[in-house]
Amino acid sequence: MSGRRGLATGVLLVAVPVLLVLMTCGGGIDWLTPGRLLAALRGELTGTELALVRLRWWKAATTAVVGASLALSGALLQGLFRNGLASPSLVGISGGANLASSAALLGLTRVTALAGAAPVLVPVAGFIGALGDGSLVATLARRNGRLSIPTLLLTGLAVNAFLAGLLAALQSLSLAQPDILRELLSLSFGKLDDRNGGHALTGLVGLVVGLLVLPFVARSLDLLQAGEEDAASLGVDVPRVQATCLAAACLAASCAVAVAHQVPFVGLMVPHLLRRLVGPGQHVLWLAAPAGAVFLLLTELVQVRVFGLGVLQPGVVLSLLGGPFFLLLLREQGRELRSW
Amino acid sequence: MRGAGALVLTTAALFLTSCERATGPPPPERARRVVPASATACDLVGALLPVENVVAVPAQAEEHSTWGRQVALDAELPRFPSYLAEPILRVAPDLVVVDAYQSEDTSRRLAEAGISLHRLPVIDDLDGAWRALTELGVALGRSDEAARLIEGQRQRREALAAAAATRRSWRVLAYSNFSGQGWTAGGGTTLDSMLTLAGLTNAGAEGGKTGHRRLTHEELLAIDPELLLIGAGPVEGAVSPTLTLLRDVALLEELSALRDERVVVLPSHYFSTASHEILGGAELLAAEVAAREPSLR
Repeated sequence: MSGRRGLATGVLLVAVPVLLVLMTCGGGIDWLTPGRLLAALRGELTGTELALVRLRWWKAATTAVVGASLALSGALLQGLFRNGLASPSLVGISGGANLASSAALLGLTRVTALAGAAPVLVPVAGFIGALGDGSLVATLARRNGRLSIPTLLLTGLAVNAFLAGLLAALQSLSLAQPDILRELLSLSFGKLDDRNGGHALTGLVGLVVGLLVLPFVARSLDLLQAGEEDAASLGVDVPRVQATCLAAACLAASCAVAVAHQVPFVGLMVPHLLRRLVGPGQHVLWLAAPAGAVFLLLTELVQVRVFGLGVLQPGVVLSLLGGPFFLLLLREQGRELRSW
Repeated sequence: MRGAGALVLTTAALFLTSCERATGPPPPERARRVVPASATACDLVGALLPVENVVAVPAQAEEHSTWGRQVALDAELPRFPSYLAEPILRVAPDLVVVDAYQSEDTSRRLAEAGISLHRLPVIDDLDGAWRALTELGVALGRSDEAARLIEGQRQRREALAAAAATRRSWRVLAYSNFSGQGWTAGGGTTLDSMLTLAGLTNAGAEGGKTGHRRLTHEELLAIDPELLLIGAGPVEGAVSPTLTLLRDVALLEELSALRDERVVVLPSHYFSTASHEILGGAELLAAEVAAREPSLR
C-alpha cells in the first residue's frame, strides 16, 4: 500500500467512526437535530432529551469499542493462523463467553437475592468464560512447549462443539420457563442497547491492551506469513510472538463479548474487507480497530433504521451478512483449503 | 496490605449495592403516565388505571394481554417490540411496571434517567395475582381500586367454586404443540391454578408433577385425559396449530378426548395469562365444560 493511500485510509478510519458515533447519538427511534446534539455537548440539555443522548452515547461508545476489539482480535488471529478463516469464535472465545454468561443468568434466576446483580455478574462470567476457554484451547494446542497452529485450530473446533452441547443442555433445562429462555437466547445474538459507561470501559480495557501489543508483534506477524522457520531465521522469537498475539486477541475479544455477548463475524469479515481495500500486510493490523468500529456502528445504524429499534439483535443481521461472506471466502480459498 | 483490604471491602460494597434491583426514585402519589412493560403488567395496570393513563405498551399487548384485547388501543399509542430504555424514555412516563424476569440492564438505565419502576412479583396463581394487584395499587396510588377489584374477584371465585361443587371434577390436560415439542402444565403453574378454579383436575399434575414440562405422544396416550385444553394460537380465526397437529398424528386417534371431540380451545391471552385474568380464563373454561357436560358423562 502506498503511503498516501494508507494515510488517506487512516484519516478516513478516524473521521468516519467519529461521524458514525455522532449519527448513533442523534438517531434512535427518531433523529435529534445537530443543534440538539451540540446543546448536549454544551451541557444545555435536561430531562428526557439528556437521558436519550446519554443512552445513545454509551450505545455508540460500546458499539465502537466492541467492533474495534473484535476486528483487532480477528486480524491478530488471522495473522497468527496464517489463515483468513480464523476469528475469535474459532478459539472458543465467543462460545466460552456465551456458556458462562448463560450459566450465570440461569443461576441468578434461582437466587432471588442476587437477581439485581445480573448486569455485573453476567459480563464478569462472560469474561471469565471467554478468557478461560481461550486459555484452555491454547494450552491443549501446545506440543513440547510450542504452539501448534493446526492443533490450535482443530482443538478450537472440538472445544466449540463441546461448549455448544453444554449450551444446548442449559437452554434445554430452561425450555419450561419461556421468559428465562428468551433472556438466554438474547445472549446468543448480542446486545448493544442499554449499555453504560461500565460496559464501554470494560471493552476499552481489552482494546487498549490489544493495541499496545501491536508495535511489538506487527512486523513479526508479517514475517511469520512466510512460515515459522523462515521467520525464526530472520530473528523472530516465534513462540513469544504466538503467545503474545493469542493472549492479546483473547483479551480483546473476551472484554468485547463480556459486554455485548455474541456478536458474530466482525472478527472474520473486517480484516478481509480491509485486505481488499489496502492489500495484505501489517497495516491491516493497524487499521483493524477503527475499521471494526466503523463496520459495527454502520451495521447497527442501518439495521435500526430499516427494522426499527429493538426489533432485531445485532447478531441476527451480522449472521445474515457473515454467512454468505464466509461461503464466498470458502469458494475463493478452496484451492488453499484442499492443500491445507 | 491495608490497601488490598480496602480494595476488597470497596469491591464487596459495590457488589452488594449492585445486587439491589433498580427501582428509581419513589413513584408519584398518583401515577398518570404509566408504561406496563409486559403482557402481565398490561393486565394489572389496565385493571387499575383508565386507558388514557397508559402512555406506551409492549407490541405483544394486543395478543397476549386480556386488557389489550378488550380495550380498543389507540393506533397512535406507542408500541415497543422489546423492553429497551429508549422507546420508554421517549414517552416520559412517571412509572414503569416491569415483570420479574425483564432485563435488569434496561431497568437500570431507566432508573438512572430518573424514571420510577415497580417490579411485579412472580405470579403462579390467583392469590399471587391479588398480591401483585395490591402492591401495584399502592405504587399507583390506587389501593382502593385494587381492593374493590379483588373483592369482586373473590365473589366470582366463590360463585365458580359453588358451581364446580355440583359437577364431577373432570381430568383435564393442558397441552400445546406447535409441531416442535409437546408441552403440558403441572402443579404450581397459572394453568394449574385455572383448572383448579374451574373445579377440574389437572391431569398434568398427577403424580406430583410440577412446572411446565415436555410431554411425548406416548405420555399423552398414557395419561389419556377426559378433556384436552389447548391454546388458540397466534392467528385469530385460524384453527389452533396444536389442534391441527393432534388431528394429523394417526397414533393419537386413540386419545378419548380427541375421538369424542372433547377439546376446549382457549384464546391465547387466557392460555398464557399470568395475571388476575386467570379467573376469567377459569370462568370461560368452566362454561365450556358445562356446555359439554352431557358428552362427558
